[in-house]
Amino acid sequence: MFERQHIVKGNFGSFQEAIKYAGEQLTKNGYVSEDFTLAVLKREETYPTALPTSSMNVAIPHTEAEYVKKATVFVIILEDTVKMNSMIDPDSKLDVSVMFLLAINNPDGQLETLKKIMKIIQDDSFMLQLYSEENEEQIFEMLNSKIEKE
Amino acid sequence: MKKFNVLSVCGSGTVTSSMVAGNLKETMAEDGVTITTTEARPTEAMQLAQGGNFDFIIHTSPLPAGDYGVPVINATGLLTGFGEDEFFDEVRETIKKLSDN
Repeated sequence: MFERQHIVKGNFGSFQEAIKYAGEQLTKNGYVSEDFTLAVLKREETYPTALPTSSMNVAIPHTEAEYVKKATVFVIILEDTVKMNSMIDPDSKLDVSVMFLLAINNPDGQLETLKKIMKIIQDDSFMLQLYSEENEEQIFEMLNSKIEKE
Repeated sequence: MKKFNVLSVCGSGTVTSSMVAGNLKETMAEDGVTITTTEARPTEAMQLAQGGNFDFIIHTSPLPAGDYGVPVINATGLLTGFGEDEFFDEVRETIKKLSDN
């Protein structure tokens, strides 16, 4: 589910820029169709995906299965947080630290993956460790061993 | 065994509604309650609810205002971990009320 090439830590200025960057990589690597990025950005306007957890705010941008060729999750660790609207209260903004961009093409088949993502974002100490880790390779290893344990 | 039909609503009618529906099914199975779910978008919810096939609705995206005719429970607590216990308390209470009727 996680892949080294789909983990990035950096500054993007806005959530749109972060999603565009990840979408470009996913398109280039053959995981999604070219209109995936636009579909995710459009959906975020109507149904935002930022979530407050007890450790930090995270976001799970995603879109319909038709744009996804191969399932994966692109992880973006935002050194400077970006503002996104809340899924719970779409009129309020949250400063998001970590984004899990979900490329899901069969929600039922990927239910286990989705449930693991839920468990990951609810694990405060893991999320804090993940956010403070500088090395992308290490971030990848952490996520992989975490998902195997869950 | 008790059985309930639940309408699970999120923005795309797929991803988060499947996430919370999966969690609901598993947890309620431990209580001896069988849950079957149908995933839908907010714009489809009213028509589906009025069809009369659902015992209650859970949602992770805000629902358009209106009378759905069945209990409506906010499921975002399942995604964040905040209010997860409160969500299941509300589900159990709703199921109890529905069973008493």
